[in-house]
Amino acid sequence: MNRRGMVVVAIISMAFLAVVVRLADIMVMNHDWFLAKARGQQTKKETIPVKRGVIYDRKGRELAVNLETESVFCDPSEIAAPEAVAQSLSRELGNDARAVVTKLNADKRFHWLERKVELDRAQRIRDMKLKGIGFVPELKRYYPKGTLASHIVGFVNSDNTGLEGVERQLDKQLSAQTENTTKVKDARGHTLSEGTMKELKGNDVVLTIDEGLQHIVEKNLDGIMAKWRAASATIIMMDPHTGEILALANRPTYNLNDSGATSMQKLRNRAITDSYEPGSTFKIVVGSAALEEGMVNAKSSFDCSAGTIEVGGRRIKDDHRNGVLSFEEVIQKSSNVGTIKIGLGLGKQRVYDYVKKFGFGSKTGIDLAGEVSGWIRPPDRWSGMSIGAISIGQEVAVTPIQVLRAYAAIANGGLLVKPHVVGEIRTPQGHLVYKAYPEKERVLSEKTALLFRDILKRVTEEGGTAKTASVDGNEVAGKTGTAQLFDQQTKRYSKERYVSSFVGFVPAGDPRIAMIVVVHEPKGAIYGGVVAGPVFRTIANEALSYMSVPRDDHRERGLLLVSSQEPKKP
Amino acid sequence: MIQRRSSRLSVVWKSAAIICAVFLVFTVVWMRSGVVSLEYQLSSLEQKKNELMKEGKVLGAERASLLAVKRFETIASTDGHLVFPDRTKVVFVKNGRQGTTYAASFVPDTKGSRIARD
Repeated sequence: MNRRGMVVVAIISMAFLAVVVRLADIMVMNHDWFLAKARGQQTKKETIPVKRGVIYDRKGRELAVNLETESVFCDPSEIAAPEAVAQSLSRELGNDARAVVTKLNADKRFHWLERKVELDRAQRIRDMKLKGIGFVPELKRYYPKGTLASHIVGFVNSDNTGLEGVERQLDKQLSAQTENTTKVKDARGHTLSEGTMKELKGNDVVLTIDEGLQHIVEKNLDGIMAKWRAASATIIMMDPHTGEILALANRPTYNLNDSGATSMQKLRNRAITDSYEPGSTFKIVVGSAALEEGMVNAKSSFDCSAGTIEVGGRRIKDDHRNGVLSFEEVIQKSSNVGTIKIGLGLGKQRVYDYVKKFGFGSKTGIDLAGEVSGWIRPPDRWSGMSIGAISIGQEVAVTPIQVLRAYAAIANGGLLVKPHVVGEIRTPQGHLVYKAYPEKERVLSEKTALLFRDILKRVTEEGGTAKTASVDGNEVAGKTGTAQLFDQQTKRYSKERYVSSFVGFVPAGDPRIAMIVVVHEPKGAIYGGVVAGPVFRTIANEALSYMSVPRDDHRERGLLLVSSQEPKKP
Repeated sequence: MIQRRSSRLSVVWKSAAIICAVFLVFTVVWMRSGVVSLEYQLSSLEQKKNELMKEGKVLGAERASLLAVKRFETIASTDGHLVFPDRTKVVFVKNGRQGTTYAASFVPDTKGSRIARD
């Protein structure tokens, strides 16, 4: 090899040596540093969005679902002409341009412009290709039935945390723990997938309510509010045997998809959070207690001819003079005098014991947040008039759900059931996590419950206070209530403000639904039999049709010959 | 003679080794590029799946809204002029053999007797 060739070989060798040294530096000596740098550029950590579980009614109809949306943010440092950008954005965002300008001029690198924008709107903004405007995918809770069952379903905040109703009560079940994932990206930012797509989803919840029954209840509740110009109203429908809430609604109410500016008045689930003096619907406590204790039978008579009775210095009247009434007539005609006489016969302690036995003064344990226990004083703190007042449903504070539960105990043969709205919880794969089973506690003997059930039937028959609650084709058992509201200013019972109610169950012989209708401060009429009774009747009629419950009298009427086969063609 | 033959064999072996090495390198590069291309395809399919899932969710929500009982009743009463069934005109009977309950409506005929229909 000549000298020139040796020089060329030497230069090439030096060049190769330099490459080898550099490679050794990258791959051996500073391997970890370069590896970390490369990973930092090629991989990106992302949080996997957590989808909340779906809430269904008892027939699998969706009440709360998830929608994909995008949240729009800005980086003010990258925006050159905030006014022009704000003009373009405000049209799509529907916000005032000045408010958008303020955000675009903010002294920080990240500012939300609008959370959870619909995908098509977000795409229109993206198409504007504005510098400094970015998008983050987010999930939004959507309630396809709007106002339906709002006080049961509840809603979430912008971070998808449950704030009300089942959304709040079962927040942990409905949501899942967030996880991060690492995505590999190329120099242009395109993602390279490993073929695994992880989805995080909370458990699905199946409620005991039925959308059809809930609609029937809410439709009629709106009717009450319009007809009687009431301050508020509540209706609860329950399966008396299991404690499953089939429908629960309050007025005023709110739209679940627009809950942001809703007042506390509308948010309140009055069925469990508001206590009131029940009035005559409470008479079942002393009535059934007297039967259970063997103090009376259905035909025991009470002299109510005076029309008034004095207890502890207070005179309590009947609506009109009734004469001598049998025990069942005392209940049928809702005689205050007769009921107080029964209460006096039982004595303070036994009346109190039965009030507690029926669950008054304690929470029912319903699986909804915010339940109150109601209120009753212990007998040692009763005044002279308390035994009379409590016997007719005064000096006690109860919630509609407590009253309904007590009537359900009469309906089902003496068992106090635990009301509940959650039927099942299932994993996204469909595995059962939780199933509600009826929790029952005997408070009355079956004999007493059945006897009292027959007595309550008479309330909706001729001569009773709630003929208006009777249902064509099925017997109804129940009781009206008309309670004066206590006026805090005058410290007396108001003569203008009342709570009208009706609570009962149908068909009385084999109860399928127990229901309470409570109307606060109706205008134009006050009696439970006038205000609440007809609504019970309408709802029961529609609900029994919806549930395909046969008429009690279908056999006796000899109406038809039915074939399940196709009729022969002539 | 023997030396020349062994030298020729050595050249053949060396060439074969180099060709094998180059082939191996190209195979590895080709396989790696195949994997990367597959990863791009998967990513694109995932994106499509995500888009379809988004659309599915919107359609699901729309379906749930459209199937609301309230909406059915409104349409039935306004467009169809239907009314909620009168319970006096609906009778529920036991279906003889199976013992299951089903609904049957009936209407009075001109002679006053009633004809039942499934």
